[in-house]
Amino acid sequence: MIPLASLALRRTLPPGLLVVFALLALAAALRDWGASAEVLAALGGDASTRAASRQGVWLLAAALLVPALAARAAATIPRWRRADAAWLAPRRTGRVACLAATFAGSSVGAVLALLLFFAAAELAAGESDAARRFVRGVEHPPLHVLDGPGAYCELDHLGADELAAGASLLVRPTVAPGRGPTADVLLQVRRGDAVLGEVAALLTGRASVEIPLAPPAADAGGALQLVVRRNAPGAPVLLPDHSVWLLAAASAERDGSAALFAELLLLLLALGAVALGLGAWMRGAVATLLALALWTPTLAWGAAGTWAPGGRLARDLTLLGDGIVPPAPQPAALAGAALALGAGLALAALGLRSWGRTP
Amino acid sequence: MPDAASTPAVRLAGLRKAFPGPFGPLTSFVGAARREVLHGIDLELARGRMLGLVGPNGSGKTTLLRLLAGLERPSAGELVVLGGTPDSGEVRRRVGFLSEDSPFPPELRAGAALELLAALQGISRGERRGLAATWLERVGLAAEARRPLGRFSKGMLRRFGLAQALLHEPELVLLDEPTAGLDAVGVGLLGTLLDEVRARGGAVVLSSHLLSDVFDPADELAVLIDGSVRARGAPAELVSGLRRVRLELEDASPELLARIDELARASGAEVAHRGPGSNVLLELYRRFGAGG
Repeated sequence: MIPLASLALRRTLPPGLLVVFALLALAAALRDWGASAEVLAALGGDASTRAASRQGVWLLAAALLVPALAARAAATIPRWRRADAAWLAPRRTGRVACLAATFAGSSVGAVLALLLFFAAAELAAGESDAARRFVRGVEHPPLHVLDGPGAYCELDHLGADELAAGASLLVRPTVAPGRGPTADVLLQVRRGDAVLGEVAALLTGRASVEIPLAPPAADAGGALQLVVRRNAPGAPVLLPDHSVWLLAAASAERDGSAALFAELLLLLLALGAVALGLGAWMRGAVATLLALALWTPTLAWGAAGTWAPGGRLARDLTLLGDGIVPPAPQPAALAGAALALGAGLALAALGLRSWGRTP
Repeated sequence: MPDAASTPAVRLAGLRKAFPGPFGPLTSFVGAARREVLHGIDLELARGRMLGLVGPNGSGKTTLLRLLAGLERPSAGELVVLGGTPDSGEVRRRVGFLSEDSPFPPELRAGAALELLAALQGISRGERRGLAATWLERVGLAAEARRPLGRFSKGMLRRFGLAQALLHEPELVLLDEPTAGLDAVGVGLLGTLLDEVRARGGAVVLSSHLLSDVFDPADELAVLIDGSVRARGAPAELVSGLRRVRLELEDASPELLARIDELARASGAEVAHRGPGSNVLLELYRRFGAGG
């Protein structure tokens, strides 16, 4: 079935489209990602510039590849019915084998396209230093510190993670205009009586404070606790929900591109299978729009959470722009992708009970 | 259980095919607005025989061939091809099909496309390349093996179509309007290839809306009109009652033609048309150096 898979690869990524993708990827790699990158560079050095470049290239990859490859997959069966059935159907090879080979070839096309953008992202970034990896976000209600010196708030259900070497807590408080533009605070992470890490900071606007945590040898076990204590009178400090992240050491910034590659690949495989299946029941263009519409809540708002392939794409692109390596796809996302893949291929096989237009 | 050689190549009994009406499958589901294009076809074709399907445009020839090739499913009736259903892999392996419009993958080169089609027939990788080269040579396309099919002319695509339909030595060959777009050399080649199929015991169903395409090569003819077989039999029998005939003469001198005119008039008949014979073009091509 390799020849049929090769034909599917060629149709998913015809030479003309491959050249267009390559040129766009190259343009993205060579682009100066604008004033925001310069501002980030001024504030956070070269790492922030590299992060902005990676984020820009992967954002372009997602915007280009998701609709393009979904449309290619959705057009497969309408094309079979319109033209290919005349030479494909009377052969010994059955429908399911044809579908499997075609899907395999299309998947290789998705891998090649993603590799192109992986190379572009790394070309844009230039270097790859050691980095931090996102472990998890902490679910918590919004908190605030309003009053004078000594006032504090506590977040006492950070979880009981085993802390690896290089672990840290990233806190992103917002300072509201009040008694002055700044807030002088001490952020402290404790486990029982032991202080695992603390940082004193003069906050203004929307800030990011990273608190390095002690290595596991000093770890006494039990739940982590975050305390934000005001040192001097100043503006109110707010901790909006989802503003505390647990991080770990990552070997290289490049791991961020690898994580986006994996996330997008899962999304393209699952979405491609569903588009292929829908294409067996309706016109290609309608199937493409329906598949994209099905995925819009997931892509835009993370609906279906960790189960839906691509459900964390928006968050992971944000992480990448912050210079943080997104996590590898979780088992739930792999299971969700397998489910979507099976459902899509089953839909295609059912819709293709007859090669003709009118079963 | 009858052995394979004694079972007919094709057996149809009460075969019907209906397509959904303009409002799609929903109305078809409740039985409304369906357009029936075949109304109970009964037909049998023995192995080693060639059936010519003739009929005007829209009479159902293409639909019947698509049913035989497994591209469509019958709405009712019995459809047995080589002892099985045309949908099964075992039957498909033994059938060769050339559709009316030759929609082969235009992005592939002829050699690669033929190898792909051989692979889909389960022919081993070791055999494919040699087989593809042999068949391209046989249909006069050896020099075009590296040219993409999208750049082929209609006649070249028909030749390619013949190669893909025959390369796995099928027991049943289904050809839909195979002469459309073929030049005189190609038509001659088609005749030769179909003779070979019959010589090895294969059956052929060939459709055309021109009687001249099928009259000579076919063992029997079926006349399909408005989705029904209105007449069936040996070509000579079918036209025996018809009073308009075509007569081809070799070495006809102007004097002989004039005498035939006179004789016809004297008998109350009339020579309605006089033109070159069926193979004159082929002779012309050969005279001016065309191969094949």
